[in-house]
Amino acid sequence: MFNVRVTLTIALILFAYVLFAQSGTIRGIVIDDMNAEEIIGASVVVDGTTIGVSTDLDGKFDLVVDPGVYNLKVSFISYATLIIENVEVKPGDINLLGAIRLQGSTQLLSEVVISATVVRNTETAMLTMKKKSANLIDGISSDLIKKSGVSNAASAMTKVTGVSIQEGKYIYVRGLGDRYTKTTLNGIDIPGLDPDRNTIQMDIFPTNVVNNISVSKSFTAEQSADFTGGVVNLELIDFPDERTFNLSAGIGYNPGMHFNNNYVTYKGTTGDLFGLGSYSREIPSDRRTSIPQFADVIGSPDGPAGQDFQNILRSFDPTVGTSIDRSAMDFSLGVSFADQKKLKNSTLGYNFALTYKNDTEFYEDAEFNLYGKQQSISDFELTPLERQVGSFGTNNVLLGGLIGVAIKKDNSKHKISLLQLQNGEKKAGNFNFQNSNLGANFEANQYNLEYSERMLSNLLLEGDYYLPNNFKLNWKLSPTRSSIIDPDIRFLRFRLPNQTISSEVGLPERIWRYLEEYNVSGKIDVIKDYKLFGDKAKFKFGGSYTFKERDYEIQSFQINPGNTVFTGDPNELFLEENLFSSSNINGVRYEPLFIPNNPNQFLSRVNHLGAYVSNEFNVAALLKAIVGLRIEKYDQFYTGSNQTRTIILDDEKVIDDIDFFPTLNLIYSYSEKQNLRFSATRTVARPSFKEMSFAEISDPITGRTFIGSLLTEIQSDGITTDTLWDGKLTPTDIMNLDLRWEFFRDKGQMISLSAFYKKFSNPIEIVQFLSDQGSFQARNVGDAEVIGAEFELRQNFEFIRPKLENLFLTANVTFTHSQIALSESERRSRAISAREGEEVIKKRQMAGQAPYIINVGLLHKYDKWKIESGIFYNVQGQTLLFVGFANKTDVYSVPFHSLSFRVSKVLGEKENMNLSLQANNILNDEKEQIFKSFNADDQIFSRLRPMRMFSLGFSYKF
Amino acid sequence: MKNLKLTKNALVAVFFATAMSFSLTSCDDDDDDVTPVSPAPTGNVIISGNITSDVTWTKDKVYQLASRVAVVDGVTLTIQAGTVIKGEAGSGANATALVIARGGKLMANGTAQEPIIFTSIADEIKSGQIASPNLDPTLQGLWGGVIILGKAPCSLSGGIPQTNIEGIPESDPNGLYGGSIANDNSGVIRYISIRHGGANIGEGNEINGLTLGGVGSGTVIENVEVIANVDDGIEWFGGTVSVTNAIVWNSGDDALDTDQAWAGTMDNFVVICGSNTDHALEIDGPEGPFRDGHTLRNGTIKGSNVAELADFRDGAQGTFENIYFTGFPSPATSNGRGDFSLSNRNNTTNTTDNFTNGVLIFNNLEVTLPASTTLSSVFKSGTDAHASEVAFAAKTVGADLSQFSGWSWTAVSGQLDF
Repeated sequence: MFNVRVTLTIALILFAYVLFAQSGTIRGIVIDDMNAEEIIGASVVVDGTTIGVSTDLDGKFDLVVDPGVYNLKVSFISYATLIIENVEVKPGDINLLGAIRLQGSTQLLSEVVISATVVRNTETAMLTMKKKSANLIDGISSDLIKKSGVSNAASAMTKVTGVSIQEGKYIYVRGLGDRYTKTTLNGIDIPGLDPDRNTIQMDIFPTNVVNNISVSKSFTAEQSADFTGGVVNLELIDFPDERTFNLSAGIGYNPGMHFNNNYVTYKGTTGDLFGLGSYSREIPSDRRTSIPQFADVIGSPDGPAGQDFQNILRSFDPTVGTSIDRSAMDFSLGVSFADQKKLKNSTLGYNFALTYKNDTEFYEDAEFNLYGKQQSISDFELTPLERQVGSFGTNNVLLGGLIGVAIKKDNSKHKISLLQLQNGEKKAGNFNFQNSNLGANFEANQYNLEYSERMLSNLLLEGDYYLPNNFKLNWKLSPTRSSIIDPDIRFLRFRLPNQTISSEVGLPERIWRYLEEYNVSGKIDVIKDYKLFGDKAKFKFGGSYTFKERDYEIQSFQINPGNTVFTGDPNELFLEENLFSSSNINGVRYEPLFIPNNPNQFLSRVNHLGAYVSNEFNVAALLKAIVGLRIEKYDQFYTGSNQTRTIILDDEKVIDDIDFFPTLNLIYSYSEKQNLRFSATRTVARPSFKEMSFAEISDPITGRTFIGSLLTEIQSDGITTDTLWDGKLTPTDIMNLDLRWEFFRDKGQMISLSAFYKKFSNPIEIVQFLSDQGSFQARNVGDAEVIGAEFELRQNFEFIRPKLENLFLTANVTFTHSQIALSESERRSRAISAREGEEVIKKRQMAGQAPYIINVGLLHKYDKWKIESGIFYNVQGQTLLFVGFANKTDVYSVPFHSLSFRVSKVLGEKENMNLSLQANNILNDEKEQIFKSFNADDQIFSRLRPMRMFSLGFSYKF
Repeated sequence: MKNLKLTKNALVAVFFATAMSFSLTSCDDDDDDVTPVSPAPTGNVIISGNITSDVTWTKDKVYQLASRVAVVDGVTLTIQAGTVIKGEAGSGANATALVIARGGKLMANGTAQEPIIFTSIADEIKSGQIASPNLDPTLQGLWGGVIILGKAPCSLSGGIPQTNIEGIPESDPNGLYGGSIANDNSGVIRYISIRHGGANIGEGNEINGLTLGGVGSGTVIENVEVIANVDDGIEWFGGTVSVTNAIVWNSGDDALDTDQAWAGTMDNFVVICGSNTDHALEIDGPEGPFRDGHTLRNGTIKGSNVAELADFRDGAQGTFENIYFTGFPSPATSNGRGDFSLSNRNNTTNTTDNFTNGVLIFNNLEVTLPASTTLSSVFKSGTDAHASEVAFAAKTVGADLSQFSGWSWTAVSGQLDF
């Protein structure tokens, strides 16, 4: 592995050797002022000379001239010619003009003259995209990301309307849960690093590899139909406009967490420093599915099977206990290099980026509790069932590399890029555990040691062609391999006061989880520009194919202590003198839980085929329509069995879905700066691999079990029988309606108001078993509806004093109201356990749907000192996280009031250095989730204190 | 052109890196069956999968449970006196066990001369033997246990009518118990000895030696022995069944454990605590709105240095009388072990209230105390009013030990010769 990495690194560094140009260069992109689309073949000439070039298929040009000051003449048929004055070219330098807008000649203007400084305003590039795009788009460009000084894509997303970030890494659009948000990389599906989620964690993408992030909120036919709340697309950089060689470094200091002498961790290896900890945590039985068990070897402990047993037993890492250390602070390093080079008939663009991050978190007095309703329906207050209080520390390491090469000719562009991410998270916790739950009553010391390693390798091949007769063709092919290994999750409880291990407190466990996914996505899109009713129109068609295969397995062991006596040190468990041997028959031994049947082993695959046609045209002068139809065939196959092996599926089709998805988007541009948009679309949400399985995955920390939806729940009191779940999970049909008014003003100011409505048929929710509250399953439940409103404002304070033009208020607010009809098992459970006087509801809000999201920021730019600063506030309304069942009650998130401040200053004569300072969680708020019940005080489900965080970043551009 | 050439090399390196990373961890499926597990002794009848039609097991054969075996609704399993049943190794959901599902029946009519023995595959015992020729009576968790489930009422949390028994995964509908038929009949269980079981599934989710979930009063259970179970010896989850003559030796957790408003009687029992037994008696209250209690009478309980006499918890109710305790440590010198206590649910007085109001009743408790220990330091919360200290020879209550002689390993090994 290391060799591969070294080779890769050397290859990347070789890119850095590049020859420098002697004369100067002017670069820019020519776009249509109306729709912000690039203009191919526009002429860019030094006014009064014959020196000139045509724009390429990205609308970009690259003009090499001797040093001097020029006027540039940009022209294209049916557009007014534009003269850009005073374009200065220095020797060996590149003058970046940015987006040059050509206006249609219908404007009665034959020639427009502007100065070079006006052109250079890419700051509003995303706003233009938003203004002119056919569908509803919000997003953030690389420019703004750089300016905001954030270090990763997740932090950048907090500035986007209707977007909320959970756990600092997962993006939700419009407060809809994970099931309804999708993330793509370069417009193509890739598997995330978390098998339980639809979305990719965004914090793994360093900002120096990101070109832009866009959030589409309305569906168009060229997108995949599993689209509900929105699609977040992360576009990685390909063609750099100028040579950049950037070094950056950052540190983060949290006074409450860092340099803390009580930091809880456990013994690891140097591989942990690079996110490669699985190599030192291998399973002692080599993942064999047939190993000797204790009862097999008692008779002859030293026979062949007995020796095998003893060897495996002695190969477990003996560390079970946490250790106390001093916590380090966060630090990160990044290097990126990008350039383009003119070749004989083409241009070569290339870039690479390497990033390393090492973050440490330490939570003291963290709480994870379980409360329940009391037996009598006239007792309202919740009673504690389990209380887990203690400290835990995490260390998260991310190593990422991106390398991309693109070759552009007059009518074609080819691109190849490779992204490699390696992430390792080490977690250790030490808790006091008090159980007063059903039939158990004890206090214990609990030790949790965990490691999770995630790897993603993504290759993207892409071709763009500008063909005769105004045809454009784009193809993409992207294979991805991702894997997650949770090697050696360790769990142990010593019962107090006598430090015993028994079945009452649970036997110690060692768990290995393996997930490996291959994904190949391919896509072809063809666009034909033509005239319809005398106006420009665009006809699109294309197809896509995705193949996915996931291999999943859990192998876990319980450690039975036999009659061993302990004094309270968890590391005594694997002491040689305590282990099973011929002289210690009743010693510590392992019990494999995956032999002979392992329901937590499955192989799933998906074939997903899509094809579409779409037409974008003007219905009337100011009314544009995009009408499309998509057809998708989605087949999912499953190989695996239930625990008793009474049901065995061998590559059997569990989803066979063929469906049509019509889309209608209308844009009424009733003034130069105002749009009214409407869209009506039909989309789908499909179950995940894990949901479409027989898996029974238990989480040793929360004690919850996830059960695959292929299993049924049948209820009977001995006389009558009811089927609460029939084991048949189907995709959800969704109807989406969107209405938006937008008003774009000068200097990047804007206001928009939106309303949306979504209707879900057969929505999928996570439902608890009526007969076992610790078990959860994805089921189709009653119909659901979401209705929402969004408001966005970007406003400066010029209206108070002209000087305040540089003080900007950005605000975006989303309100939603959702309701879902209860499943039969939930309805019954609520009826049975309702308190006296409590009304039994038939509908409730959808789980995971936030009632409101507010993002507000005040930004200031002081050009004289080259200082930009901003203060940001973000909050998400109380959201239903887990639906209550039987004696358990609903769990909600408590709004977390995030206030942060950031200031950055550009330094150096060449403006090539940037220093930024940031303070997060200024209000020192706590992250809480609570149980709520009728007429009862709220009780804590979980509580973490992230504390105040200060970070310092520095970047240097060569 | 120099830099272009370098670029080509770099491209090769990129592809190489990609290919490598694609193949690095994908070659792990070929290592299966490196060491075949030694095959089970021949001649045994292997039982795997559920029993879906009436069947009789005879004493001339050894029956080997290869998985969790459920006798499903409407089916009767008859086991002849003197038959030996052995569970294969298996843990967690793979624990081997005999489950009598709701509506199924077990007719296990052992006799004092020919008890029916449930044990591990590691046990070399043969029909006709009482003591294991090779296994120590402290070895636990070598297989699962015997689980009998019925349709009698249970008091379940949240008031739900039925639930899955602990020790059986949620996905197996044969693990459901509870209902509304109080006189439900799960068959006849006489003279059975269950040994070395108790495979553990997870915290609070384990197999007891004999698990009785929602078993109705139409069921006959007499003369039962449980030895060396990881979890409890016998645990009742609701139901109405009564049990006569039970003996539990070396249980890993509690010896006798009652939950969910079991409404039957345990008459004549012996508990011999082992080195990690928790409570000799763990008596819990109802979990849901439905309330009822049970009776334990005529018991002899011998402690160990870590065990507690009894814990009455969370609104426990019922009558506990004529029970003799001996061999427990002093609470003062054992971190509070060795006591007989009433435990209330957090912030309530639900158990002590029951005691005060006569819903939880104690009569004629006797104890032989360790040196320099007072009666009230052992019998807490005023329960000492119903207990008296006696010398062993002077005890007037306790089990009729003669019921266990001859057929139980505990008696045969001399554990009852106090």
